[in-house]
Amino acid sequence: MVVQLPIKLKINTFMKKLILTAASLFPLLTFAGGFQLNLQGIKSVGLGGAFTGIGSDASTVFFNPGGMSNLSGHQFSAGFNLVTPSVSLQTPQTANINQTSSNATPIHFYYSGQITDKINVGFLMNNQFGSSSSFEDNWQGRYIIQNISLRTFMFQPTVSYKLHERISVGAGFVYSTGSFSTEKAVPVGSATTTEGQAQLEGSGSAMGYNIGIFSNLFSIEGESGTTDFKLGVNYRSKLGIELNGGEAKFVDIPVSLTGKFPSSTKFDSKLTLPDVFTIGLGIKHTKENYSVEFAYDLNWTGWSSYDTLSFDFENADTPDSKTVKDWQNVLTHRFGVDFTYQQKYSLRVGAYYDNSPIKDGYVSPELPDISQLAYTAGISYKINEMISLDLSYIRQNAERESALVDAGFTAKYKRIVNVYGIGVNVKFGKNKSKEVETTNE
Amino acid sequence: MIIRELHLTELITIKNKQMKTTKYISIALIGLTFVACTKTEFDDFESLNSGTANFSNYIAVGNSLTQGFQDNGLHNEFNQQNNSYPAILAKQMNTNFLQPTVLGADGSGYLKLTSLAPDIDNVPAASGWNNWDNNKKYNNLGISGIRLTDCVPTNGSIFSPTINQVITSQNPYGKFLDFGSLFSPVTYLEHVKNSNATFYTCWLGNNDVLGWATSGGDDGEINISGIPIPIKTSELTPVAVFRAKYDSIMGAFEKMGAKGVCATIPDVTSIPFFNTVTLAAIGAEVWITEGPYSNNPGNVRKATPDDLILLSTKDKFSTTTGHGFVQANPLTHEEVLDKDEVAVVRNHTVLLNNEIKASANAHGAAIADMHEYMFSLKSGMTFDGVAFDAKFIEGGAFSLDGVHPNTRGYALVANKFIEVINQAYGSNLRPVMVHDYRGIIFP
Repeated sequence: MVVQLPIKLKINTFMKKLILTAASLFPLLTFAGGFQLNLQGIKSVGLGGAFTGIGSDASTVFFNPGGMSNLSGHQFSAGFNLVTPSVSLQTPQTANINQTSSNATPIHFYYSGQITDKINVGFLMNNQFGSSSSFEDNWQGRYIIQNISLRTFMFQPTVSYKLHERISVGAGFVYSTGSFSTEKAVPVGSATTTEGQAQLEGSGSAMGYNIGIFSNLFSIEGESGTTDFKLGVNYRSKLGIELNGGEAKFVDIPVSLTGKFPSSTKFDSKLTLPDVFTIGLGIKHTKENYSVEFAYDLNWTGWSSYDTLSFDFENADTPDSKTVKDWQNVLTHRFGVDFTYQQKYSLRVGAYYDNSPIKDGYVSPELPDISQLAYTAGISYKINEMISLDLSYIRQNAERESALVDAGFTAKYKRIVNVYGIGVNVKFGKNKSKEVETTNE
Repeated sequence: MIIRELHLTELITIKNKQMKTTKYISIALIGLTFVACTKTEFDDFESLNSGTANFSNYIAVGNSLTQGFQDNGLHNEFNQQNNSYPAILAKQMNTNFLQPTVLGADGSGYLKLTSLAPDIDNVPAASGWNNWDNNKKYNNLGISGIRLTDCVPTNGSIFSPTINQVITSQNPYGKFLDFGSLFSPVTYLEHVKNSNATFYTCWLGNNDVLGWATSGGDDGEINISGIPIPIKTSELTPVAVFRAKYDSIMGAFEKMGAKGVCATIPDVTSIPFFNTVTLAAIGAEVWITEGPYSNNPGNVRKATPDDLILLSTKDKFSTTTGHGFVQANPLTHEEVLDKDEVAVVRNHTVLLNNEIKASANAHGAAIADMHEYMFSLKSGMTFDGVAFDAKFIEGGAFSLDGVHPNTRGYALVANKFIEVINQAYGSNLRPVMVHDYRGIIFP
């Protein structure tokens, strides 16, 4: 006997609550100061990621377009990194949970060509932001996240102009594409299903710019050799990637709730990648047989622009979700030293201190962002006048204990990341400069 | 001489080669060490330690909340009874725990959600669900519907043992215990004394206020033939009587050397049963009758948001007779807990809780403040990404009767007990993952 109620009770706020919690914790994708390891040039990686005041190969198209003026003839750099993360968590209930994240493989390609003695043109293609995390489907935090993946591509036609023998400027237009997907469990069960799953997939594009000034400040000639002082300033604008018309699928949903969680609907969202401002120094001391170069970069990443993440679903009954992120702008210090012998063999060591943009209480399990000091190393070998090879390595090892307060989830994290990089540089063509550049090659 | 020089040069070359090889091997080894150093695994938790407590014979004393009652029944088709909070606790304690499991998954019958309107269906009882063997030694002594006042005879009342015997033996949920006969009664207290507990949880007292509240502020007087005085089946148990009986239970445990936890009575007006049929949900004027404990007994007036209409009253409204909607046909006093009655029961709950805490302290027991926990739940709590509160169905923690938690809610309760036990006895019981237990089952 079914008890019919003359008074219809409203449960329409139910889904709001559910999906708000479910979707509000659509994960925090962090980049600089997080999973982004700033891998845009293999030489740079070896120097702790500092390169804004160095400008010694085509990767300067990214790090500081003004530095292109240092490059003679036609120069290409192409590289690839293998990021191998290992993350484990401990919660009050479970002694050990391992992330099942796959390795990431960001790539980069740069070209710089000298047109006249004052003008260079260039082009880049790289993956500046990316993230990939996954857990076993039935893990404790499955209502927060099961899998997430983001991949971005940036394309940047660039031009530089030598204003003065000591100062050059460069600017590039950035076109980027991003594709994003994520899965998480939905806490509704029926007689035949214990819980459902939300699967979101979207892609979009954005436009921005990259500008830089490079200065060969001054040189000191001495008995022991020449010391060059260089300064670079770079600004890369925000990229607001609109994920419009993304696909949302809900599976294993009780029949009575399919109005709220339909098997398929669309969603709109916007992912804002932050702007980055960098000042970099380079000090290179050259003697007969060898050179030593110090590099220091200070990045400021504008994460506070990432203040809300919202998902608007096309299905009217699926409540839209909006989460406040409250991220902070952060500074990152990068430092490296390069020893080059006979302009042929190079050894690099470096370090960087990454500040996390995420405060305590906001740490989400798929990306336990940790303020930390990381170490880097690299080597180069010049095969001949045309071709040289770079290798790099990064080691990150940090722990953090924190909560995601909004989700009532707390864990200890251990995270080790090893990154292996390899790149090749090719140059040919005549030097069109009036003076022969000896310092940066 | 030439031979010697050659020898030397050769030696140097060999030495260089050796050095190069050693160098390469060392580089490879360092490389391997780096590669190998990706171990991030945490060590296992240390093994179970019961601290100063002894979990070898855990006895749970209480009512429906303790028995695992939900959706207006004791049922097990999705392991609801198997996951009563004492059973969850016992699993974490790694101790044997025998419950009078219903014989037939549908148990005593239960409520089932058939649509989101909400339409709620009644699943009938499984035949013979409570034909338990009452010679077995059960660990879970929870009996749905039992009040503390029925468990121990009232000092100075000659009819009390008989009344208690009638009430407890007539309770279908208590058939796993032998309560003797009318003139040779065995009390619940006797069963506690015979339990040989080393550890206990005691959550008695809820029905000493709940019954009064769910009957709209009524004492529930009935007459049983053979007993000259009327039995008040849902009276608010008087404070002194409550304390004396609670002390008896505590005394019994203390005498057998058992350690344990006493839980306070949650505020019954916070449960969905009283907070779902709101004036906003009804969307019309409602007329009510004030009850015998209200300021103006018998007074008929318009309902205000402070008057709590019972969930069971939702199907008593009628547009044909106007019952509940017109002054001439107001809701009866049993159909609503008016604001005066709300104050009475809230206040009485606080008084009884004071006695529980005092008795626990006097007998060296720890206290789980479920009264406070209910308020936290009402204002909303989130666990592992899912939000809970005290709302009907959507809140996630209460079952379809609006009174008892669902299995997930009982897991929250178990975690609260674990927190208290660890703190009081220095044990290291692990909390459970709330979402491993079923919440509302949607159609």
